[in-house]
Amino acid sequence: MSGFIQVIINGVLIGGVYSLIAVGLNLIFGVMGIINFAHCDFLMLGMYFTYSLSTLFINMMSGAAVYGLIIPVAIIMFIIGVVFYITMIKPLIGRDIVSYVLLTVGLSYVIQNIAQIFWTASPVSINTTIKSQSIYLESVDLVFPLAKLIAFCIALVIVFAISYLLNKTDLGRAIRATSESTEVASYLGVNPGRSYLIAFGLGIMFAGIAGILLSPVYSIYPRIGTTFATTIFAIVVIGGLGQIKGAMLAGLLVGIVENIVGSYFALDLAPIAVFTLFILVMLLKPAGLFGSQTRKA
Amino acid sequence: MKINLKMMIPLIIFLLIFPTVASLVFPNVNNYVVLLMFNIIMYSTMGTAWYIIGGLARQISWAHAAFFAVGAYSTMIAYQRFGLTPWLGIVAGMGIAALLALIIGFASFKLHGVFFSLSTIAFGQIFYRFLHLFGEYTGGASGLIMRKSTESSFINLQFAKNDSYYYLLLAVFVITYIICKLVENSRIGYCLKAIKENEIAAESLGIKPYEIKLKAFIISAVLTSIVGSIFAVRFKFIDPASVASHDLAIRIGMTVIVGGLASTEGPIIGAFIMVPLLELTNAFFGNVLNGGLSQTLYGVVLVLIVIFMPNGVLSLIKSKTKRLKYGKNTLS
Repeated sequence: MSGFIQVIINGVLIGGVYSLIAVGLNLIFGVMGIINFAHCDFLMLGMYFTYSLSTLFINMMSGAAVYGLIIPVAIIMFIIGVVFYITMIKPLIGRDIVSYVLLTVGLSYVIQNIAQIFWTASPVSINTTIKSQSIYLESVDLVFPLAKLIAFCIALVIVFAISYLLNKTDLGRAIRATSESTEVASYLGVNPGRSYLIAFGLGIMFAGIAGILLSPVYSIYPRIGTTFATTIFAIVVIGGLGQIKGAMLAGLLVGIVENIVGSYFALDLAPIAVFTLFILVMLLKPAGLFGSQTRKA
Repeated sequence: MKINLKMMIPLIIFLLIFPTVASLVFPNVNNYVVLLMFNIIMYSTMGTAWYIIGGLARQISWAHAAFFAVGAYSTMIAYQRFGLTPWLGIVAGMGIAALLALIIGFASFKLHGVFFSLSTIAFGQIFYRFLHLFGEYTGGASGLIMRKSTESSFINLQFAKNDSYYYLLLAVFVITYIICKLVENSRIGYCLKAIKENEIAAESLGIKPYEIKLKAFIISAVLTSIVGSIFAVRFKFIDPASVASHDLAIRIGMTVIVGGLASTEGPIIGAFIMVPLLELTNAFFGNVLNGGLSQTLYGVVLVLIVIFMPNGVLSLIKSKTKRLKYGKNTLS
């Protein structure tokens, strides 16, 4: 029994980080209606920034100090997101959806290979003691890997913060209005361009933060983003477009499903289970498992 | 039904004489040059097949690597495991691809726009994992190798000269192109175009979008699987990463989008741009800056194309010729 609970816990812990990435993608997808094929490459960038900054301040990087990089990396990623938005996404607004596919796929190549130029193709990992530490609860025989636990908690806090921002502030209302109808929102005095900019910047920033949180867990290489990319699309749709809480719950659900199937059946079956779930949700519950409104398109 | 192949005849003649010319002009590197052209024709053919569903009906599919893999694996398994002629493998591949397209389309065409695309990504990923899961037959991640035959045999599709595979592929390309044109000018083609413009309006005119799209998807899948079969007999090695990956699926669609989604020449132009571009950047910058520069340039070109040529390279060529014909004012 405790083995099963352990599997669930592992799923929930990784699911929390999935949630954070998915919330970022959901913001962009929900507000602008574009699939960002490069999203998880920004995650990879976040990981590399963490790596480089941590090697710069090598003495600081004992224990949990790596999480101190969240703020600088988040700021860098937000700025990168804004720059990408202004230089590349903005000129394409109003175009066919196909344009965005091409653009983000092209961007994905560019980002991956620029990373390869700067950091080479060989994997690196962050030198912190935290990755080998874990909390063992003897009474219930459960292990909590510390890095994953911290990642989960920080991800959860950020997801709640963005949820608050979207629901309780004027800026959030403007973003949500834009995602429902750009036209109507602009009649009501919302500047859709500003909503797009902030949504895109925040989306990329969350991918970057997820990168920091995952950097003590995984080794880092230029193509690591592709291992997450399709799973994150699945989470966004399972949770429901424009549903921040939906994306969060779906992230946890996918984490759990992946771990149960991967541990009890076969590792290769885990993605199959996730994508089957994804297709079933699209067909049977188009608004997403946790969505309430009907889906556009 | 009349199909205008006028534009294609010079191209086909060019491709037919290409290996001969190459061996005269580049006697030292002619194998490489012919291989490059082989890849261009391969992407042209896959792109043309993809165009039937992605261009005519604007249903952007990212599942086509799966159909390519079906053809490759059927041929490889038929020949290697069961000692059957690859021709049987090709036919089996076509049948399985049709069935797979039916399954994928059955579910995915209930969805529209981006959600259709996402669904095809999911099916592509599921198929990719299945290849690993049934490693007993597919060789799993390490793939399958076809033993080299010592003698040339048309029945076993084993040729001493690589040029033979080139001509085989060229034949497949011509057939695919003609089928694509036939579909475009048939009732299905007109229905597909109506669906592209406005699915609801098309439905109100008595068109059944779901069935029409499914038919087009199956035709497209079957044609793609044939290319996969040729790939397997030509290169004699396949693994999931090279024939079934998400990357390949994206590349197939991207070739067409770069060329232009508006006409059957789009995929060909796209292939003539994208394949040499990747080759050239690899050849010149393959070892520069940790090997990252070549693909960076490739990506930059993609981004530039999408920003400055919204409807693909073809639109640029077409608008130029139009301008020459009718003066500047027609371009509004």
